[in-house]
Amino acid sequence: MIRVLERNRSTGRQVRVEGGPLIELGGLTKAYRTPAGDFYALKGISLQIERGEFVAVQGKSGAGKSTLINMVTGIDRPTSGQVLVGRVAVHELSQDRVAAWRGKHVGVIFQFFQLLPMLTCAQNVMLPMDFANLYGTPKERRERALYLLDQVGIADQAHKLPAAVSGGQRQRVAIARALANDPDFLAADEPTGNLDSKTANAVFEVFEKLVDEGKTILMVTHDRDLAARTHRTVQIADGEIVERLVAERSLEEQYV
Amino acid sequence: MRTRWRKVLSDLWKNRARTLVVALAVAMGVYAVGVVLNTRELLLREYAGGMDRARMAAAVVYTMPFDEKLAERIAELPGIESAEGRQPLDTWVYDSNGERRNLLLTAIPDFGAMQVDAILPLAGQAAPGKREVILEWQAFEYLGLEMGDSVIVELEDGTEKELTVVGSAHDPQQMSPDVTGRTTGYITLETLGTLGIDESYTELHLRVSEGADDKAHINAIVDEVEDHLERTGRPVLGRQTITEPYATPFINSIVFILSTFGLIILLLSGFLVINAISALIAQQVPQIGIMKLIGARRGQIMGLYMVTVLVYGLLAIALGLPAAVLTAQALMSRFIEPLLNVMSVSYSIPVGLIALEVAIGLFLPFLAGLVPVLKGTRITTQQALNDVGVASSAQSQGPVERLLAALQRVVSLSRSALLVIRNTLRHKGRLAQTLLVLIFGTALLIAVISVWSSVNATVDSFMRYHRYDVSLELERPYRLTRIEQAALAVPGVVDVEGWSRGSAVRQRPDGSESNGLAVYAVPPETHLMTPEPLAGVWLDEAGPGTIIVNSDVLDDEPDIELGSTVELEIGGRETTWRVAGIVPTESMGPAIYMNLDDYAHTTRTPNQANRVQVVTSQHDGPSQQIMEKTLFKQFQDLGFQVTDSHTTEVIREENELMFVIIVAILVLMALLLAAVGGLGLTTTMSINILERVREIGVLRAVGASNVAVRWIVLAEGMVIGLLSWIVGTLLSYPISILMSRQLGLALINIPLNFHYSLLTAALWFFVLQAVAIVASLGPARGAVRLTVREVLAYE
Repeated sequence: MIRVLERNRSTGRQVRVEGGPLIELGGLTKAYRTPAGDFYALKGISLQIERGEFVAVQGKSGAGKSTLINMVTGIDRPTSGQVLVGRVAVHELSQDRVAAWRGKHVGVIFQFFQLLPMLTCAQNVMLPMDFANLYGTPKERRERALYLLDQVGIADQAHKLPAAVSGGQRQRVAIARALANDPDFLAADEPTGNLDSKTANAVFEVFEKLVDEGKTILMVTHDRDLAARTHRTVQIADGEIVERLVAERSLEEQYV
Repeated sequence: MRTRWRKVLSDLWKNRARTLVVALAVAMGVYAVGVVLNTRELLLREYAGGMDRARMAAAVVYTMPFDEKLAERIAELPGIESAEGRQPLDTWVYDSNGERRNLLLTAIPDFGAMQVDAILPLAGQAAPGKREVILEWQAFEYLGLEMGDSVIVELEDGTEKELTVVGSAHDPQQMSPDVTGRTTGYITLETLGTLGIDESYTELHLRVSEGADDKAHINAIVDEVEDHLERTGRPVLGRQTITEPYATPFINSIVFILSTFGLIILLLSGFLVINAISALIAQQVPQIGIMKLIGARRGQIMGLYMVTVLVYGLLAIALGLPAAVLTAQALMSRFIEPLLNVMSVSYSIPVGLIALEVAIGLFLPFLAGLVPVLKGTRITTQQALNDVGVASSAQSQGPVERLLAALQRVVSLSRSALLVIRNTLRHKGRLAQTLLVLIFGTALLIAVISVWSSVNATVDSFMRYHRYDVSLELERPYRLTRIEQAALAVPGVVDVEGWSRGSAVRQRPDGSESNGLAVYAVPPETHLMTPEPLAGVWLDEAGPGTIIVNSDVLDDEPDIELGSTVELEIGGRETTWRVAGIVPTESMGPAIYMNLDDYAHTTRTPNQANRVQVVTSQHDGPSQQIMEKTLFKQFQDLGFQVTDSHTTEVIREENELMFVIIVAILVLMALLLAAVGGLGLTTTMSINILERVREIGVLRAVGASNVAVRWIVLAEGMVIGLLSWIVGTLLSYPISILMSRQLGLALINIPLNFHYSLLTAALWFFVLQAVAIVASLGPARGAVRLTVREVLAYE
């Protein structure tokens, strides 16, 4: 089944999606035990994200945005509800299996880059391929890492350690690493939160390029301007989706 | 190379200091075990090899002169493998420094076919001719002789004969002359004749065909031999049954000490490695999170860290193993060989043993690393990524909090002090491990030094029998006044006493006789022999008709106790004595001490003595030696027949030499323990700081100065040091007693005179605090370097 989701916001091309939604969250609840009683970070969230879609998640601090990302990427488990990504019930996978699944199917990008400080930029990109045993020999992996670094515009920094490059460059390395095993979708938690506006814009352009190439991206951001450049924005408050329709309508107005 | 292994190498290389600390921790264990196993191997192998070549006798029978034919006939008796005659002859020679030395010559029937108590030719002639002598190889240095030299030997009757040194040989059954005060040479029966001694043998040395370690079996065979000898008209004067080489108890105690300390150090270094790997994992938690985030399974991450751990093991092996081989070889060549007269054929360590040590080097960190790696990699991705170094246990209202609350009600503690105590007690498991390492390190270190101190105290107690400077032995008793005049005429002589040395045999109530007992007859008010009685009194309070016995007498004659009446045959007369006191042994066998007048009366030598004990104005070794020579000459010139002489400095050296190997090993082990303890504290402090990164950030955010943060870290190390010192010092006391007792029993058959080294305990307190400060300095410096932004960035 092929269905049209919406138009690409910059080219006006329609995003063509095969099959059903890539991500399906159903009745997702996450409770944390605290001395003051259970705290609900997510309260029955249901959300579908189609293939090729670029979705922003916005909300105040503590609203549950990062928790939502953690659920989708299998970093954390829901208290109840389900997380289906490409028909894989992520919430049912063991810690070990979810790590292996994530390595092959999800690229995760964080505000603080989370690069291994002892490895060069290229080696950081090669590491997921190594763990997933993809792309054959170390030589092939290196070639792919250099290709990906070139794609994000920092091939010339490949041999440097993360500490030797700028924040924006580190985030590009993190993006290249997230793309290492050619995952189905990227999850980004405040990827531009630690960058100046110019660098943030440059990094965001990389995301836009990836979406153009067919990647699905779920991104938490505080930046309304950047959120406005995605296909749709999901507003979360107190663990619940509160402004999904408004955001979708604004997309309709912008692109259709 | 795969990227993951590059990470392992990068981690190891870029954290060089940590890599070195962990590798050193493992290396300590590898080194300790290596030294133990290698020394044990070399010692047992080379010593046993020497003994095998020497074909040690199972028994020696002392009898009247006999010839080779009789020995040959006895060799054919059932159960006898071989029998040979020997005749020992005590002689004296002057060494190159003019020192009078005891040289025991032994006449051997056939140098080419020695079947019992063989000597092994090393250089020169394998068999001496007439008026020639082969010297034990250590005699050359001891006497300052060279091959081909002529040596004048002085016999007991004072006559002098010349012998030519024609060969050197190794007699594995002779200890170092520095310990025994005597060296040995080997001659033919013909040469014995030229020295004016009957050309026959007086000792029958036997080897049994089987059961060489069965004393009862050997005794049964010797009974047959004695019957045979008596049938030939030769009364048996005594026998000695030998089931193990003379040095076996000594070697066993060395091996026991080595093994015990080796195991303890291995165990402690294991704890140290657990701590160090925990530190590594604690530091790597965020990276574990990142790796899980990008697809690493737990097994893959475990693989990374276990490989890291194995690399530590390899480094430790590279550091520890060669050092262990070299140390074992040095212990062997520097201490054991000269002292026990072991002549090593090879210093090689068997490949199997090296393989075992390599396996220990790899297995120790693997085993120690397994728990922290399993624990560390079990963490979920989210926990790892959110790791900010604050343990959840800190939030609980545990016993520590209740204890602190109670403490607060009694004593007003500052916030900083509370923080220090809380931090110290936060991780009870890790604290327990660190304390274990430090407590054992402290206890054993103090115990080791206390044993050393006890060795000195024991030697000091031995020296209470020798509170003079020079002693001369006279051939027969001389009048005391003549002795005193002769000695006091020598400038530098401050005091002189005449003693008598004789022997006694106890007539037991059941009619049997004891072995010979040494008798020392001294003036009761003497201040040149002042042993501390274990029971009863010393001669000055004992009164006439009494004797004092040493503890060795009680071992041989267990029915004797304080107040007992004993029958002694002294100088052919049977006399009755009452035991008025018991004194510690000098480790020279059973001895009786009595009033000189009583002895003189019994032996009918009134106002006479056969020993001259001289106190000189200078008490150092060289001065004593000069006085010894001067007095010897003076007495000879005045017509006294002097048979032997010694200085107390030489006696002290000989006594101390007995313990030198043990003390060297103990000090080596003590140093290792101190190093393991120090490293343990350093790693613990490093982990604690790593885990408290955020807390330190908060402290600094709320205005804590560098000094305050540094103090908190340093004080924590000092609190751990203090706790270890208190418990370790308490524990060291019983351990010291046990070690001193066991070591004494193993080496000299009596417990050492226990002396607890309070000074070491006190000094160790300061050393431990210094170690704590040094160990905490690095982490403290790291803590103040962290910026508030860095540590709080996790939020």
